Amino acid sequence: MIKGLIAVFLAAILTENYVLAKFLGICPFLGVSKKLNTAVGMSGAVTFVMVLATAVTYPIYMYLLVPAGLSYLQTIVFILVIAGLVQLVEIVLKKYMRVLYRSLGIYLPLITTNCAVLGVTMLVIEKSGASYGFGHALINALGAGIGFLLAMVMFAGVRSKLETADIPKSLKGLPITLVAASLVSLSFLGFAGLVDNMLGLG
Amino acid sequence: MACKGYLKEVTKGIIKENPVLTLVLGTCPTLAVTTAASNAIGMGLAATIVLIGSNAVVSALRKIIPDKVRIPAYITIIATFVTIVQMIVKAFAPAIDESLGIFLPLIVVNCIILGRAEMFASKNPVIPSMLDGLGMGIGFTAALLLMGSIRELLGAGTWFGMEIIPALNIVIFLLPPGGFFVFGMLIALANKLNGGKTAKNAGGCAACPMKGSCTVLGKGDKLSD
Amino acid sequence: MKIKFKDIFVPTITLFVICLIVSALLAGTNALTKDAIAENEIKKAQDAMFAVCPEAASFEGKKGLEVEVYKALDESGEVIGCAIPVASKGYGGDVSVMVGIATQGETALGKVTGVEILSHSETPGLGANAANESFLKEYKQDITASGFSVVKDGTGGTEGRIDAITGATITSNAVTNAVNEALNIYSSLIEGGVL
Repeated sequence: MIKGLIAVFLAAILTENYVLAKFLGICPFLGVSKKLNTAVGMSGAVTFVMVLATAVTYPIYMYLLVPAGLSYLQTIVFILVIAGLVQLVEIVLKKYMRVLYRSLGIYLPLITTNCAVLGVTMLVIEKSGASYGFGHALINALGAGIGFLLAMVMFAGVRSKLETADIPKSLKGLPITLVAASLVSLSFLGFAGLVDNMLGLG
Repeated sequence: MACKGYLKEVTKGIIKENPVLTLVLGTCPTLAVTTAASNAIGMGLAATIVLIGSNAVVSALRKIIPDKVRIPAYITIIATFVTIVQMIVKAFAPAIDESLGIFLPLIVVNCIILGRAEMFASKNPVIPSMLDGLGMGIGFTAALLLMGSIRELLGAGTWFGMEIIPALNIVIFLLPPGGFFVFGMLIALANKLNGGKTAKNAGGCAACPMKGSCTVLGKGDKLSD
Repeated sequence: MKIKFKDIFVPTITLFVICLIVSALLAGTNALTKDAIAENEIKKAQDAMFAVCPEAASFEGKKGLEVEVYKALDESGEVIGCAIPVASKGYGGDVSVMVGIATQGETALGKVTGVEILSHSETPGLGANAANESFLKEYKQDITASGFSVVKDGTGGTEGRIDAITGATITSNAVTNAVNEALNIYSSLIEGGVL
């Protein structure tokens, strides 16, 4: 059981990295990764909303939509729940946790349209089954957020080196950033099979 | 004369304001589903239908929807069209549903669609809005098709499943690194062709539909190039 | 602080009306498409069953068992084998396959008559090649006591050996594990006298 949870957690961070392997959340990955502190702030906010959104949407889907035969409303209910949650979190943080609000709050409006959040909540529903319950779903969401953080932080490091590099004119800006992203995602390919072998599950 | 104006709404999305290659919106599906040319067509068509539909409804309701709740209202409208398209695809083209997987429902958060609703449909009449949706949809499909064709041809030696160059089998082009690389090269090309315009307004934030309400940009933090 | 009626209620009512209309639209589309969607799913499973048991004329679902098994019947209604859907963990997620087994083989243990991939999320160009006939046909052989195992020396196709797909060992193992799982279910059914 514990082993299974660890495997889900590590897989979500490394082999199934939402940004570099599943191509979810590319917009903030390219847009907010220029400076390390904004990269960390954004990832923190994304992780927080991912776990919270999964904790809310999973029970709604399993215990409300499925019994009522309304599973076709999944997309619309999930996106509205996420949009509502983001608003709510913003209000709560602003009122009661000024310190946290100052570091995470400014990224919140961007998260509603971050496809990684909607992606996580939908993928855990797809994966759910006898050996994959609510606990796995939450761990997966947490892992996805940390995976996002890892990719963002690594990439912010790479980008700070690009600042001083001599780059051909046409490649300046976004193209060279994408080529750098290509190399970072190449390094993540190396994790193939690692998690299962490490835990003796393969 | 009106005809010419309408035509302009369609064509601007294909080249001058191409949502993918010039505005750099909708990057997630652009990278994820373009491992084969046929996927690109499926994704492009689905997004085009949603774009035309949501643009039409948002434009028709532009005087009714209060400004305060416009974003939730737009998201609801877009999600409705996405769900309808999803059900129709599942019922009549299950193969497309399988190859696009989760990226079919994720059209909801495709920045192109919310972006057009916010930037164009909420300010223009119904017919031009629908034409704008059509043009943007065609531009999106064309860019996906270009990406999909390059990756499929180099990665598997095929095009739409037909064998073209059997000797080509550079699998890396089908994997995530190949996706980033081909996309980077295409933007560099678009950059070269339109004299460096892409680099200026690209990078996620500047073209983001949320930029109006986004405090990251408002604070004066320069995030994108 | 005075709350303005117009500022609170007009947006709320507008959103509520939009949601009502949306729900009606979606319920309507669902009513129109749900039969076709259900039919597609049944047809897909059935197509896979007939593909893995080419000799069968019809199938009979086996209820009351812990596992899902379909008995394959010939034209006279005799049981000639079974089709078993199983899943195993691959590189990108679950790989689910349909395995066809015939009770008549050259060895007493029976024979695998076919394997079809029902769904997978493996890497295009590598693991996704597992769905190719050139790989799946290797499983069509008599069952050995030790089941199937993946080899990398090109000797697959006989005595339970399966050649790994180039660059996709994890996927090859996943499909092989799934088939072995089906063999276990099959032998427990034989022992239990169900088949």
